[in-house]
Amino acid sequence: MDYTQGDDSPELLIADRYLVNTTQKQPAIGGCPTWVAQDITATGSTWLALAPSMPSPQFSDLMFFRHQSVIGLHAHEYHKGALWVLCAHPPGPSLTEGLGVWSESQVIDGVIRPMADALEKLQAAGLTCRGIRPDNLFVGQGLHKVVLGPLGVAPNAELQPVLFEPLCSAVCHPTARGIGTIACDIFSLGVLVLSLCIGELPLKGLSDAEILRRRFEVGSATAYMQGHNVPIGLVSLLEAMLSDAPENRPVPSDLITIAPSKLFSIRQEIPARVPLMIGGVEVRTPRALAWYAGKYQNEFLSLLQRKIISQWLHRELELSVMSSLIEQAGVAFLPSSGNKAVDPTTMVATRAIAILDPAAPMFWAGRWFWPEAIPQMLAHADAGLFPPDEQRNIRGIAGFLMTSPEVFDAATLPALQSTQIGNLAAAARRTGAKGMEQVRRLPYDINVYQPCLSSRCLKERISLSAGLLQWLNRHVSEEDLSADDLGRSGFMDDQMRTFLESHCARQGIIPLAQSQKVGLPSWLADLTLLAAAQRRFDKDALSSVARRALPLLETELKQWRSRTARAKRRAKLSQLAEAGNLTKFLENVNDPAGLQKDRKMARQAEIEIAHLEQILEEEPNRKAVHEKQARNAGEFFSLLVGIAVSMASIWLEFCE
Amino acid sequence: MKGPSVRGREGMPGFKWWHGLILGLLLAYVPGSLLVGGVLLLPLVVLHFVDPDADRQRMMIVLFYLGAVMVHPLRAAWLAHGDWQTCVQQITQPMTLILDWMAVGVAWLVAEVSAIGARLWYADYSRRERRAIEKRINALREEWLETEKGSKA
Repeated sequence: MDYTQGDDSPELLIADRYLVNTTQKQPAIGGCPTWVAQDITATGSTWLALAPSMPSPQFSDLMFFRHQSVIGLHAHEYHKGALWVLCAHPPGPSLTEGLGVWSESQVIDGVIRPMADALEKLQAAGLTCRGIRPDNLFVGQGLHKVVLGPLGVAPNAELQPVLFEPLCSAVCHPTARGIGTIACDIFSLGVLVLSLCIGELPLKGLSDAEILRRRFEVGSATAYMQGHNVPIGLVSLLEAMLSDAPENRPVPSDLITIAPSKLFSIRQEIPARVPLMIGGVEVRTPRALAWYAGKYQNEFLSLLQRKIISQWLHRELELSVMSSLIEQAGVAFLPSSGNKAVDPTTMVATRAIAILDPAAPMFWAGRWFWPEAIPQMLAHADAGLFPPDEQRNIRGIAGFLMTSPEVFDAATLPALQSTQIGNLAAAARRTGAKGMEQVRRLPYDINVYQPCLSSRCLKERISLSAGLLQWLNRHVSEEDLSADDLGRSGFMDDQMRTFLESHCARQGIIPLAQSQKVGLPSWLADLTLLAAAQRRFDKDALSSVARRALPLLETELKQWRSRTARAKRRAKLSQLAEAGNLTKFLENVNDPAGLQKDRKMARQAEIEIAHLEQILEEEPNRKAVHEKQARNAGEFFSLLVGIAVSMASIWLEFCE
Repeated sequence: MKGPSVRGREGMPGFKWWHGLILGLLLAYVPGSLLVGGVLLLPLVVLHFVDPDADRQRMMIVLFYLGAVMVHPLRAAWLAHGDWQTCVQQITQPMTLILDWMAVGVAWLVAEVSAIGARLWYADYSRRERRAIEKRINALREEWLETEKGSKA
């Protein structure tokens, strides 16, 4: 992946401390792009800076895991909302650059014991490793001791080659493997031990499909060890570790105390002498039959209906219990269950496969997967790493599993799958969302470190709300977001909204996009969401977003009746846009009390206008009144003058 | 007695019998002064019969003006102890008669002029009031009703 930075400088400073020169790329560690990071607070000390694009959901637990055979994390920091992991340099090159042939004691002391110790500690912490593969194992020059790359930086077992995975996860798409169990790690360790003993990878040069076919044909252990000169003291150990039945593999504590030539006894599975033909392939074990049942579903269902499978199981393999269970599963063909949403044949195939191989992953709608991997599959589908019809398929499966876990409540399903489906349904319920929104929420709710999957900012690996807010603030210009789009679909796309909602929900804020459902325009709903996220996660200003929202909010101001109030608020709005506090910015417009007062005053003004107009209309009447008053006044004045004149006359007559 | 009282009732309201008695006594003892008063009050009587609009109030106003003119002749008649010669002389003075008849006109003129003045003042007042109301209406319209107009347009 190409990590373009905003400025032209190839150097970036992470957390004001680690200087990374992005032009000097290092070989990838743990599947992540890697650069050298210089600690500028301590001269001469350098670290490796990893840029995980999709960390494991358990990363928060795994990053505190310390063991001598695992490269521990030095620090994890955020730069522009993207996660950076800093770890020490590996002791030497990875095993992909040459395995070398290790002696039996070197393998036991340098690989099995330390790795088993690490696995035991992981198991005690309720974690799994899922990273035992040549490119994630490092060996110091001249030393015979392997060191594992940092844990948790890659999503679960996604990067594991098919060769290093047990059948129960190798059949799945890499994203559908889930967290797995320690037994899966023991298998990977077994493949590693075998490769180091024989100096090369087993089944070299074969394609993944070929490898799977060989392993189902004769069993993984036989397929891997056939024709290789394996040290005699390790044969029994490897047979146990590479067993296809997880319960046959040794536990880590068995391996810590291992001594050369220690014997492990496992119950051998006897293949049938007469094979069952399905899709033109000869099948000799129930496990292989389960796999081919997924591959040739129609043939399998017809065999099941004709009871050929149950007879074969009973007569050739003497598995009478399995045979009768299979027969019952075949009977369920008839549309007995009331659930119309489930195609009965799909359910029958799923149940029959679960009976044939209890360790197998779930088979549903033509897909092998572990229910716990659903969020990861969804994340990959949302990131566009699947073709569109498969994306739809995965979303359909996820939606169905989350909403109808009771369909899978059958006793015939293995306990592991049932628990995982139960957990999934619980997580889905916790989202508080419905439909597609629920499906979108799941990856973010399950994984705190899940970067935002929006196609607009996927490259930036933003897994911090504040980072997304700042990224949005930098990318709301006219070129990034046309005015039409802004008016129609708002500032963010669905993934960004879901990302923020999930982070808000984690902080205990009730999902905010409810406002969108209430009928606000999407840009206003987005602003509300952004404001809430800003209140909670980021105190930095979002002036660009506010400036972009300014014309839209100004039209919203029209609901204010008073002209001076509008002008005042408009002026304040521009000021607040510059300040960049979205909460205050929105409050200026969304002020119900103020609006109500405005309405009231507008009503009063209307009444007053009506009153004044009435006064104007009544003017002619008043004119007549004035006329009469004027005449009266004239007469009165005349009377006064008359009195004055007579007084003057009397005065003149008598006093002169 | 009957005839005048009926006429008085029609033409001169409030003309009672003792008015006649007083008039008779005055006629008997001071005929000169009565003559002066009667001649000088003649315009009032004429006004009463000529002007149909002349109500009590207007008569009263005119009476004040006439009173002003009557002061000197009546005093002269008084000083002459009602001497007939002097009284006749008084009422035949043209200046007194002109003033007496003009007093009615002056009363009317003063009333009309001041009524015109009052009318002008009222007109000015109502114009000013109208202008203030229109200004207030415009201010209110501009402040509150602008968006409505905009949305209607």
